[in-house]
Amino acid sequence: MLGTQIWWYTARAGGIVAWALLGASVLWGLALSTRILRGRPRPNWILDLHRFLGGLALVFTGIHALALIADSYTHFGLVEVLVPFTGSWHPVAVAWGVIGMYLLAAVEVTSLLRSRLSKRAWRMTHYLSFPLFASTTVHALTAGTDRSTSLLRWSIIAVTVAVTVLTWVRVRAMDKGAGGTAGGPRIPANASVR
Amino acid sequence: MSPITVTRRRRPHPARLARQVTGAGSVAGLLFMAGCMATGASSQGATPAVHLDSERPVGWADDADTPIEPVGTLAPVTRATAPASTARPSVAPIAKAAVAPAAVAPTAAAPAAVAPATPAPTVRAATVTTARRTTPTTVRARPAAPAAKASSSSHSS
Repeated sequence: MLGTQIWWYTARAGGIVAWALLGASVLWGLALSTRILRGRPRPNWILDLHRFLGGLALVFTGIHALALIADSYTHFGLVEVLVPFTGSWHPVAVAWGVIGMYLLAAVEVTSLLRSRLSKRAWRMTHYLSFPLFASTTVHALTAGTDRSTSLLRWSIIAVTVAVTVLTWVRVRAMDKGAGGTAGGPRIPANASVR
Repeated sequence: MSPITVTRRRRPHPARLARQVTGAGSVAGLLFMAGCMATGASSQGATPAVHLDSERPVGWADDADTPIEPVGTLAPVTRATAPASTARPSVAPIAKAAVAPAAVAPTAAAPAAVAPATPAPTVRAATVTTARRTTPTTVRARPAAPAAKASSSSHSS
């Protein structure tokens, strides 16, 4: 009985956990780049946890996808999971998740290969984290079976608001240019004087 | 004179404890949520088939444009009209059978088919015995269904 449904439960729970880990990773990344925590905890501690959360989100996304394939209820095959708009059940809502999965993979792979990439290439790819978070959030709200759960809904709202606020802080700091503290090049203040 | 052995000690992760807590918490969260879903589903109804119907993905068969077949037509029509090679029956045989439900004989696999036709909520509760097997194939019938889908969903019949 439960054996036939365990993959369905695993897929749902795995998707929720993956989204939560992704949101936490985005929040830690923004906390690192905005330096809003003012050095406590230490930046390398935040960076280490940020990277771990991103990798863990990818793992749980894989669990989510594999459980959907293993489940016999929703009739998702490998093609439906990997190629957007190929499924018959809410293809647009599912496509948001498929696209998010690819974006997450791209961000993770480029982060692992960061030492072999130019800083500009890595940064540009890392900016995909924002559409990644947006697409997975839309996926959760449109395709998620548990979207009507108030706890999940309020959690999504809270994390989205936090990400939006921190992104605004980040963008505003970038607009300040070299005088800003967040995301700017780590050049001594008197470097241009010399 | 003993040889000098140089052992490289790998630098530990700065957030090692946080990693462990996060990893264990994620796994525990997955198991906890899956357990809550299972217990919540088992407490909603008396039969496990009801759980399947109540947990159907939103919009799967609950779309407004999806007609709800009367009780007594769904399971027998699927069995009587759907060939073994095609998992998705067309809509026409379903409608035809719905006109003459008396001609449909109940089967052992679909005992709910003998119940009288009732409005939608009751229908859902009554047809859940075969909901997992028959409803997706009926609802998901599309004019241009790819050939691969027939093989992917054939195991449900």
